[in-house]
Amino acid sequence: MPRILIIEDEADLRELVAWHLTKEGFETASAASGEEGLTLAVREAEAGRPFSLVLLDWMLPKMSGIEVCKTLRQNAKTAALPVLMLTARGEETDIVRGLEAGADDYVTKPFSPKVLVARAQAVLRRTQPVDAEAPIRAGKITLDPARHEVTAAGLSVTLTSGEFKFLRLLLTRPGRVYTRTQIIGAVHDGFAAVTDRSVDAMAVQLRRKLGAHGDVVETVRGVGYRLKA
Amino acid sequence: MKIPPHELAKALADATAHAAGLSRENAELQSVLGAMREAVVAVGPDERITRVNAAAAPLLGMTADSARGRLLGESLRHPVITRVARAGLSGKVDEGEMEIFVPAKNASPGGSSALARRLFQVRGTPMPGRTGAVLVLHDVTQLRRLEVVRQDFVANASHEIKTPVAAIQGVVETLADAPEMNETDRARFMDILTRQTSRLSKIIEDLLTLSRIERGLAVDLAGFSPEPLAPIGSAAVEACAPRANAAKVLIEADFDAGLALPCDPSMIERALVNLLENAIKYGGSGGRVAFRIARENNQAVLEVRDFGAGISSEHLPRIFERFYRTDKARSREQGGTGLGLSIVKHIAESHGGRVSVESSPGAGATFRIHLPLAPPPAALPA
Repeated sequence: MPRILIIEDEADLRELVAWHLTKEGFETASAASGEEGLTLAVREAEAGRPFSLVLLDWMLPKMSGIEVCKTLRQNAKTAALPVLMLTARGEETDIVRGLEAGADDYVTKPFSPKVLVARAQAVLRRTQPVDAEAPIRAGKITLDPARHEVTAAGLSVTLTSGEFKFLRLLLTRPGRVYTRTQIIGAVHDGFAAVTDRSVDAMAVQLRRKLGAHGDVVETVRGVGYRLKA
Repeated sequence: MKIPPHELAKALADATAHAAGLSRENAELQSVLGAMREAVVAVGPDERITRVNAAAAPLLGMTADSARGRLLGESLRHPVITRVARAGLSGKVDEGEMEIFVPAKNASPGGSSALARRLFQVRGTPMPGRTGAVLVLHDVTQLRRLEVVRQDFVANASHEIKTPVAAIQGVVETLADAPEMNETDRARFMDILTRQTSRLSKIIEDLLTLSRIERGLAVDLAGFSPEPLAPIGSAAVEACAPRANAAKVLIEADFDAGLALPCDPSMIERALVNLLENAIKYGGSGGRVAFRIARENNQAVLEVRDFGAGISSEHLPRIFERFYRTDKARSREQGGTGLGLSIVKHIAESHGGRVSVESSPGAGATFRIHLPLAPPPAALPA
């Protein structure tokens, strides 16, 4: 049974979220501070029973959610632990900061508990370990990493190496938003300089080449790109 | 070659007049530069300083005269200013920001070595014909600090307001969706609803109070007659008595009965209640709170002192900001809105006064409201 760790300093919200997750069949554990949550996440991972997901509030006393997220990512034991950020800071720059700290997704406060549960389930679904060599399918698009091939509705699509890596990144986690910086990190081949603008240009090219299926590459205004789930 | 004496004399006179003109221009330039708030440093093609203004001298750590002829890198070593200067010398305009330490303006007499961290925006412009570059340094420390305050305020305000709204919205949705919920769960959710609604309404009330004060009580102050301060102090103590009793805290009042000044008594009482409530909350159970109203020079000082854990120095400069919390979890548990001290500050300022705080960890905290006493009647115009 998936176990979810809730790190939230507001006791009432903690209780509310836990109630809903329990109702949906999850086990939950709670922490009232970043430090406490971090200790719990690491301890459980070391004991061989890692949490399936962390619901992490951004504005925590002392250690912030961003710092907790970064620390989880730096620890080999918890680096792959999915994180869903809860934030009252709805500004785009804040969301970019959260994603770049390693959050898999974010929900802005106030939120509907039902929506939160659905988002948690979506994060859990798409963070299942994937076989790096297996072909990835999304709708009519198939990407075969081993053969370096992409088809849209059965028709072969010729992509540059950068476009291929970009599409592969989006396909691995449908629905997850990637910031431009994260996309640059994934497509950068060590030679050509990649800028925010060239990421946008690459997205335009990808859409054009995918033709009728191009709209799967979705722009999230002010944040980055994601695969339309 | 022989020059007729009269021509020589004329040439000499011209040259003298020209030199006088130059030195007048020079003096004019010096005074223009001297009047500038920004620091100006001019360098020659060899990166040696050719001219600095008065504002630049403290940054270079020497007088304007002794700076002349020195290498820029010797006097002010920072990668940003070096880059900007070199850009200027190669005919380009460039700018950047750098953080440097300069002698503190208000350094205490004994501590002449005190340094303050300042943030400067540096702009380099080439001089015509690649004869040098002019560097202008603009102090943006205060500007950046205010930006941080503003960003923090927006982030904190949305957090403080959206958290109760999130809880309320979540609970309402939950109750609406689960008609068959058991009585225990229902009661727990109703508790959350009650608690968060009252928290939200306290925040809104405090925000409205703040905006009311900001709209300018100060202007109306003339309409208030002098009010004795001691009864206001007693009313504040009275209002805080239930909390003080519950926390087993003793409030020791010491009022100068003769003090009076024009003020809005309900506002002053409100400010004092906020200070007393904080002192009761953070002063530690079973403790005491010293509450004094006294004359100091030409001021009335309303002082509330607790003997609790104190406040660490990094928080002191920001503690009167709206929604600024030194310990978020703790103060929210105590039912604070994060606006109490900000209200105290606004009330003091709307009365032409100010607030101050003194504290060190382990030694408690002292909050003071300083209000100017009206000048003696004799000084008033007839």
